[in-house]
Parts: sequence; C-alpha cells; structure tokens
Amino acid sequence: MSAVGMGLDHEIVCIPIERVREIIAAVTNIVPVPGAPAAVIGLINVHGIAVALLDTRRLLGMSPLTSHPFAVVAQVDGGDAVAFATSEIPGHLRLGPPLRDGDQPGITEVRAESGGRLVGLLDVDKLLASGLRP
Amino acid sequence: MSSDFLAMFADQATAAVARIRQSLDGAAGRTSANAALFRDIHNIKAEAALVGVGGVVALTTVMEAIVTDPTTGARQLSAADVDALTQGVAALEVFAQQARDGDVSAGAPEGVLQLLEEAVHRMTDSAGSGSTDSSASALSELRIQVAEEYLSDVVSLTLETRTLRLRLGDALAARGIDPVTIPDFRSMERILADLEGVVIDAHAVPLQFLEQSLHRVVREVSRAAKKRVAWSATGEDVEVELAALGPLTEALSQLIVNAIDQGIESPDERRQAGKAPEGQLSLGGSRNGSQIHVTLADDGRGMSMDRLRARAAALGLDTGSPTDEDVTQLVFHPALLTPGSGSGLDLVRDALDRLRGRIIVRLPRSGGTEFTLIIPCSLAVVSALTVQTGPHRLAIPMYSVDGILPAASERSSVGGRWMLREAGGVTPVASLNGLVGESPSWEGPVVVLIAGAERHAFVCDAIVGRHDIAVKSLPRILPQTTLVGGVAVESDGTLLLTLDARSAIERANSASTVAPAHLAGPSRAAPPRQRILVVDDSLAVRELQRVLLERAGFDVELCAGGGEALSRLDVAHVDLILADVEMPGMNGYELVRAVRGHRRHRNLPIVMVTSHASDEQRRQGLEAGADGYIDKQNFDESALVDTIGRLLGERSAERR
Repeated sequence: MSAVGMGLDHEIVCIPIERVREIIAAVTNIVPVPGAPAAVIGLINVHGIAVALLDTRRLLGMSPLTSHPFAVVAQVDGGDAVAFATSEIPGHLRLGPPLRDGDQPGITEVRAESGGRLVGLLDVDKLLASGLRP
Repeated sequence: MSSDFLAMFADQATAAVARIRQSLDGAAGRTSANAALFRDIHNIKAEAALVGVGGVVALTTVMEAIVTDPTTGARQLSAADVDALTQGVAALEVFAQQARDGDVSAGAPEGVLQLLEEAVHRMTDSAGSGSTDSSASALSELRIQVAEEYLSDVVSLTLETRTLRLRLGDALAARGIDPVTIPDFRSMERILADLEGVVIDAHAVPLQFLEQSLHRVVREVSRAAKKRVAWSATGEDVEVELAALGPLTEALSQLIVNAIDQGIESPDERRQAGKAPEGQLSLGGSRNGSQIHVTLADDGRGMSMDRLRARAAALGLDTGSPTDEDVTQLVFHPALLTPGSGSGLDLVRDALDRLRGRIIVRLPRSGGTEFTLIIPCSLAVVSALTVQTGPHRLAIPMYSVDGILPAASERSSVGGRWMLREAGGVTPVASLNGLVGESPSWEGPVVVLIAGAERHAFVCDAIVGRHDIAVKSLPRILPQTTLVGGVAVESDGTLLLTLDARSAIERANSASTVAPAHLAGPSRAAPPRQRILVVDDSLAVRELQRVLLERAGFDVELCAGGGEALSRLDVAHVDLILADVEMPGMNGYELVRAVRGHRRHRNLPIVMVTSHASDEQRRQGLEAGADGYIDKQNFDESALVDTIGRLLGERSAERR
C-alpha cells in the first residue's frame, strides 16, 4: 500500500496516497481564526482557496506540534480539502499489511513501512469528525 | 469510489454491452427491440452515475435519446442510428475496462459523442420537417441539465475572476494609475459585472419560489390542526442559491409545522387571550451583504421558558442566563435535539448545518416566536473596512459600519458595562481584542457597528483601510465560528477574515455563560437498527446502497426485483422499502401499487431511487403511493440517509 508519511515530532502517521492532493514544503501566511477549535492552526491560501491548516497531533488528542513548517493537503468527504500540518517533510512510504487495529479515533490500522518503523494509518474523515468536535 | 464498486460496475456494464450488441443486431427499421435496448443503456447510465463515471453518463445520455424511452413513444432506428449506437457501445467497452482498472477520469470520446449527437440532430430535424414522430418532437424540447457541482464551479471561477480584477486594480493603483482611466479595464469591469449577473441568475432563485410551497404547507397544516392562520410574506424577491433551496424548504416547513401545532393557539384560546381568532405567520427575506436572512415569525403563545429551562437543567445544561433570549438558543442545543423528540428541530438544525447557516431565536415583546435563518452566499463582493486587532486583521463589511470615532473617545462604566457618549447618544463599547480572545485594549480608534436595530462600538488597534473584497464562505470543515462571516483573498494572496457584525454585537452584549447552540457539537443519536429492503435489478446499485445504509446503522435486505420483494415482505420484517423504478418484470411503480394494496404492508414507507427524474415520472411514482424520490444522478449519501431517517421518524411519530 502506498501512503504519504507525516512526521509528528516523534512519530509518523500516514494518509493513503489517493487522498493526498499535494504536499506543501513551506507553509507561510497562516491566518488564525478567532474562536476556532484548538486543532485549527489557521487558514492558508492553497491556489486561491482558503484551506484549514490542522494540528494533526492535537486532532489525535496529543500535545500540540512543536513546529509545523510542512503540510499535506488531503481531500475529505464532500470534496473539500484540508491541510494537515507536519513537523518533518512528508514523504512517500510503502506500507506492509495491517498488524493491528488502531487504538485512537482516526487511526484505523498499525502497519510497518518498508524500513521497519511502525506507523499509524489515518482515516481522514474519522479523524476530523473526532478531532474537531468541540 | 472503492475499487470493489468499480469492478462490479465494470462487470455489469460488460454484460449489458453484450446484450446491447445482440439487440442492435438487425435493429435497423424495427421498434420491438427498443424496450430491452433502452433498459440496458439506461441501467448502465444509472450505475455509472452512482459510481461516478462521468464519461459513461455523457455517452449513455445521448444513446438513450436516440433509442427513446419506450414508455414515452416508439420510433424506428435507422441504419445510421444503429451505426452510431454501435460506436457508442465500443466506447462503453473501453470505459468498462478502464473502470475495472480503477480509472474513471476519462471523458466520453469526442468523435463518438459527435456521431451520436448527429443522430439526435437528425431526429430533431426530422421532427421540424413535419414528422409525427413523438420522440423526436420531445427532443426539440430537450433541456440540458447541469449538475449542481458544475454550476458551483462556474460561481467559484467567476469569483476568482473578480478577485483577480480586484488585485489588478490594486496593483495599478499602487503604481499611481487610476484603473478606470484605462478603457480596457472599464470594458473588463462591465463584462465581469454582466458575467456575475448571468451566473447569479443561473445559480439563484427568488424566495418567492419557496414561498409558494411554504404557503401550501401553511394551508395544509392549519386545516389539519383546525386553526385559522393568515400567511404573509415580504422580501420574496431576495434570491437564494439553488443549492440552498432544498435544505431551506425543509427547515422552514418544519418551523411552520411547529408554529401552527405548538405556537399559534386555537381560535377560542386566542379570543380568551384577547387576540384576533386568526393567527399570523409571516415570512421575511433580506440580503445582508454576504448573507441571506430568512425570518419566520408567528404571533402565538411563544415558547414556554419555564419548560425549556427545566428540560435544559435536567440535562445538566447551564440555564443561569438572566435573559429569555439567551435561553431560547438552547432549543437547538444538541442535548435537546434528540431525533424523535417530537419538535423536529433536529431536522432544522441538520438543514442549517448543510448550508453552513445558523439560526437565531427571538421572543418579540409583542408575543410569539421569531426564527431567523442566516445562510451565507457563495458569490459576494462587498466594500469593507479593514481593521487591525491584536494579531488579527479583520474586514468589516461597510454595510455594518455606522461610523468611526477617534481613539480618544470618552468612555464610562455604567453598571459594569462600558459606554461611549457621542453625538447620537450613548452607545455600548467593547474591546475587539477582548472579543477575539486577546488581551483587551482600549487605546485605538473606535468602529461603530450596526446590525438590525442594534448598534455597538468596538475599540480596535488600527484602521488599515477600505477596499472591495470578494468574500467566500469559510471551509465547511470548520465548525461555525460566530465572529467570522467569511474569508477573502487579498491582492498579495494573503487571506482576510470578515467580521460578522451581528455576531460581534451579540457576543459583546451577552453576559451569559450559555454555550450558543451553533458552537456545540452536532448530536446524532445512533440510528435505530431498522431494516430497509433494497429492491434493484442492478447488483452494483444494490451493493452500493447496502454499504451506505449499513454504514448509517440500518439493517439491509436485498432483492433483485419487485416480485421477489413482495415475497420477502411476507417472511421478513421491513421498516422501509427503497426501490428502483426501471426493473424487468414487476417495475417500481407496480411494486408500490402492490404494497399499497396489501392489507398488512400498505403503510410501509417507500422511497423510489431512479434516474427518471422528470416531473411526469415523479408524479407517477407519487400517485402510485411512493413517499419520496431520490434522483440517482444527484445521488448522495446524506440525502439518502436523511430521506430515510425522516420517513422512519415520521412513521414513529404516527405510531405514538
């Protein structure tokens, strides 16, 4: 299975490659949204469209990202796009078969990437549904 | 779309293509084979629409027009028609293979499409030259249907063009050139304005369109409730976007039902209360910059605040607000909106959620209840004042700005609330920094905002400037943030949030700790494990519907035809039937009539799922006794689940 790996400080989560629209190598001009949930870092301009930039660690119920210079723009149910912030430059990963189910909402499976590291596979829609709930 | 469904579609299409080839063999000059031919082409189209193979939908739509629906008229196929259809079939085979490989991106091949369209034109020409062929004359009235998403794309592109025009104007102005002195710039402005007008016309319908159907709801509900209700409407010329019409109708219809059933008193009760025997129900529409406000007001008994407070308190909600106005917002709190609670307000909120809208409940001093539904427009260019407040730069639409006062404006605390004294009187004032969650600051200039009858001043850090901006809705993924109305892209590409003045004033006025309903999370109780019988001759459609319905929490039974469905009803408990129309043997209409004639099953809700979306066919379905209709070509999961949920909810309510 092909996926895009996103470094979240000390761990990696993946998004299935078919959900990824693009990778942003330098996230700039973030506009914070007053009153938005804590996981919403702000809005960014992606080809003229305002896209929500989300703290993926916060969505998973962890402490906030220490830095978010990169982002993966993914398509969600309904056709809109969201950007998941990452601390390391995202890259293509080849994943092995599922090793066990994920324990957190939004992580469906645990798999191993070709280098042997264990990674969580994200279900983008479930992650948003659970992580953006006030 | 999952590869399983695409593979299933490919298998079904390949089998249908083989049958079509057989039907076409020797079909020239005959009409007898057309029924089977039409059904096979139609089924491929319907399945393609469901799995999202747009090229096949385009191709089969024209092929259907050539063969002609046998229920609306018969025609003989010419040798040229058969040649064109054969080319179409070859293209379908290629599509089936591509779908099997997971590729659904290709469009219909232009050459084949052109050949097929020429065949349609020949039919139209023949009708124009005096032919009595009924199908060809029907084609002369052919209307092109455009999917809502394409229309939305046109709106979006028009807005992008407007944004570019604004950027270009800014860039010229920065170089000391007044854009309006350039003839080409003036022409572009005029053409762009025309384009926006055309797009808005194509994408919008006046509220009047909605008003007529709502008036019908008022008549029917008031007759059933034995109440006298006078209906009035203002602002019917305000236009709402086409996509908003459905959810808006759902929300307003439910509010009307509530107003008549629970709000407006019987004639006797009204007389005893010193009111006219006839209740008043009014609809009002207004455009407020990038938002549409639709208000429904009645002069009934109003909400029982004691009951509402008691229900909210029993659920552990904070009801400590001193004002009834604040507590009224609790009616849309998720904890009070359990499906089946009888109020139907969960449906209202669902509809508003789909529109990214919000609702405000007011209790006018004169009595009754007033609901204001606020929905954003996707195409709005407004003149705006930009202010700096803490780290935020916010644009305030000029229609909300009533004045700007210098930084040194004198303020006084009255009962703990800051007030400004100005020429027009005394105005409450708040720090905009404090409002957006920053440390309050009182040093900067003061912007006086107005929304309806409310006027409020806000201290900001600095006034940045004033210019036109093209406002878009916030990304739908964001929970509604009351203060921010939309977002614009500036000439340098940075994003600019717009401040919603009404929300800012409400928040500043609010001394309540009650969470506004629209900030609370959506509440969806687990759907009941009710059983849906899916009847469709297409395996792919059945499987797709099974997956969607099971995901929504229903149990599902599958049948491939009307006869089998009737037999299944005798042995299995079913709560609702979801049936295709076009099926071999007993078709959908016949199934509906048979169920309605059955002593035990006649009250079962039935929803028809079909790509036969014409008014006539809808009428046939509804006359046969169907309770709802879902168009395969606009099929979407939420519409399916919502429709089923609503019908099952209504049925539960009837039982109670």
